Amino acid sequence: MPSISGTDIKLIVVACEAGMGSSVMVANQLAKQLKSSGIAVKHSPVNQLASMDADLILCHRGLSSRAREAVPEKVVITFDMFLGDPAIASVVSAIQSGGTISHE
Amino acid sequence: MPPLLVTSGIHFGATASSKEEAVALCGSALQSLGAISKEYADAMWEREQIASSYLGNFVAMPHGTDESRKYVHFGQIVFIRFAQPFIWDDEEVKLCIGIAAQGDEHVEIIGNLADALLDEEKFEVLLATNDPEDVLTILNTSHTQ
Repeated sequence: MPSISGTDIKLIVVACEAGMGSSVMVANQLAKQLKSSGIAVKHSPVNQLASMDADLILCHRGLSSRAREAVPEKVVITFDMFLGDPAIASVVSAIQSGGTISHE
Repeated sequence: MPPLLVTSGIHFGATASSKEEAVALCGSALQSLGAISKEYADAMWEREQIASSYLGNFVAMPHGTDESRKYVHFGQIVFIRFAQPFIWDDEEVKLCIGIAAQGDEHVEIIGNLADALLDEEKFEVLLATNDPEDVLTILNTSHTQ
């Protein structure tokens, strides 16, 4: 199982099908929460994940198998809700405390 | 190029009884503004079947597929509020935000929308106002503290 330390994360990519709707919303909220950390947050269609060179990927549960297939060596965290998902909150707290993040 | 959100793209009191009808309404609203061609409207329903665009909080955000961006003539957002809530999968929906984007031109508005959905007072205004100016103000104002 891939895992990554919160302190090693430079780029987080939020993926969705089109890279137009939900990933934009999640990336926007996450960027605001991580503003002081210097971590970049981008959004992407899931089929372009391989070219993004992300340290950590977030995607909706329904896309997790496609995301893991696209970047098998990366940590992919799945969420269910586009606003206020607890999985995203724990990513933020791991980054802030330097904890380790791995697939559930 | 027109602004991303215009008064004529803001609709109060729309009627839909299914998510298929609601997505079609978003598509035809975008099409009548000249922002998209029919293929994009079709892709919005295609996208909906891949994964639901229901956001939570009575709001859904239909949009096309990555592939269908080529049928977008200019980036545009439509705000469609329904007179009666209807069932979207297992959830009640009162408001649809339809998106057409060529690139990332809409990112700021979506960020403002997310903020408004998490802000009880603003969300209440979006659900109740009959003045399109209120919607324009809320969705065009970033409040990044």
